[in-house]
Amino acid sequence: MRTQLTALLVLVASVAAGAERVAIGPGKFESVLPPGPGITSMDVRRFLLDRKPVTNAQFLGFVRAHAQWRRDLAPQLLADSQYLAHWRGPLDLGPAAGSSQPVTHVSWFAAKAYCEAQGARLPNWYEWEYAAAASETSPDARRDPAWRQRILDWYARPSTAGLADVGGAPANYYGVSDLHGLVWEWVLDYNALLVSNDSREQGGADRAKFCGEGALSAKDRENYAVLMRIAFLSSLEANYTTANLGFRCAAEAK
Amino acid sequence: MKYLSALLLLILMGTSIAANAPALPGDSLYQLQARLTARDGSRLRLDQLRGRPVLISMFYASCGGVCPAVAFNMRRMEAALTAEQRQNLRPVIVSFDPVHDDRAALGKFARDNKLEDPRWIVARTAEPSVRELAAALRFRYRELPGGGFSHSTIITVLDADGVVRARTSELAVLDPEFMRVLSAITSTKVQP
Repeated sequence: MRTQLTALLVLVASVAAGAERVAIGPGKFESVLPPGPGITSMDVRRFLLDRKPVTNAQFLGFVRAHAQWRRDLAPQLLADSQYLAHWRGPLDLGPAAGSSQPVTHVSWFAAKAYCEAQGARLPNWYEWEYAAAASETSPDARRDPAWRQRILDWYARPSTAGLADVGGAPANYYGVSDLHGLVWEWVLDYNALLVSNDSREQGGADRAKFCGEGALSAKDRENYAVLMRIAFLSSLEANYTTANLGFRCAAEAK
Repeated sequence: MKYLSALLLLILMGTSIAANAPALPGDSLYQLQARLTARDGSRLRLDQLRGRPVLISMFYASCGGVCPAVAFNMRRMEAALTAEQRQNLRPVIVSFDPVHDDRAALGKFARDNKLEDPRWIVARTAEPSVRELAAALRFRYRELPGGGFSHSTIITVLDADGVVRARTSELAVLDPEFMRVLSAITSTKVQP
């Protein structure tokens, strides 16, 4: 009975989560991180993306259902010592973690497990970049200086102020919120963006070997916000957690 | 009743097995739930490697240059150990290209790179384990549009519990600090 009830609740939860996901693409686009030398345009297949980052309350629901992801039980290999450190207890958000604020202090392993528990996955980088190229009115606003400046302004703001609730900012062209301006977000292939020959070199971006023989697209090097994001993601290891790093899920389009 | 006592026995056995094996350290690689398939078709769970030090890296079989160099370096590291130290060490190399690397491809890679000694595990694992294993080993790889991959060359030594003790990406010479750790860790007698 209990199992059935749990299964039903999981089903209801995943249906509810499904409604919070929008279809994006297919489309052609120029990434700042071309897949290979001489390849400027690439195809993004149709996919589903969460409208908002995952919240503390949603992540708490996941931890309740999957005890191995409690902060006092998750092994160090999968989540470092700061995992969910802003919660009051292993199953208690407390005053420092608002239920509608994006969950942060989560590792790649934990984010990935959350999405898989919803029958979803983390978005890959190209999906994330494609969705994040949109402003409120245009699917690709990357050439719009005003839009670029607005995003850069976010990076210039000190991160000491508390995080806003998810969905507070206007949704973009696809109906997706908070891709910029709230938190950094894990992607499935965070460790495939800049392949360095040596993990010790990750700290020095100049020594990193950029994606094989390819390099970042010189054409779009003014897109600092996205380049910063790539550099940040590339500096992470899978069990790292930080106060400004959250995630959202994606899924295959039916 | 018969069933009940059988069940009770099973539970007791389970408890005693669990009690005998010391808890896995939280930072052990064996916290990952991954299943490897070796080139001879045998399967093992990652945590079955527990019990002796492991030298581990990743590769893809159609790799022309760097992967043979990684394999060569792993053999060179082994060769620098005494015969007794070598017996304590388990060398493992896992493909990160499960789409192309079937058993035949693993076999060819092992032959071409002289990894046919039975102590060597040349294996593949399916997604999502590949990505998780690579992430835990800090091994980065990126598929290139023309085929092939750009990837790191990290070789890792794990202690008998699967905890990372040293990493190196040095291919030109044997990394002295890495070799010091490898030598020390394989000098301790392991349980057969």
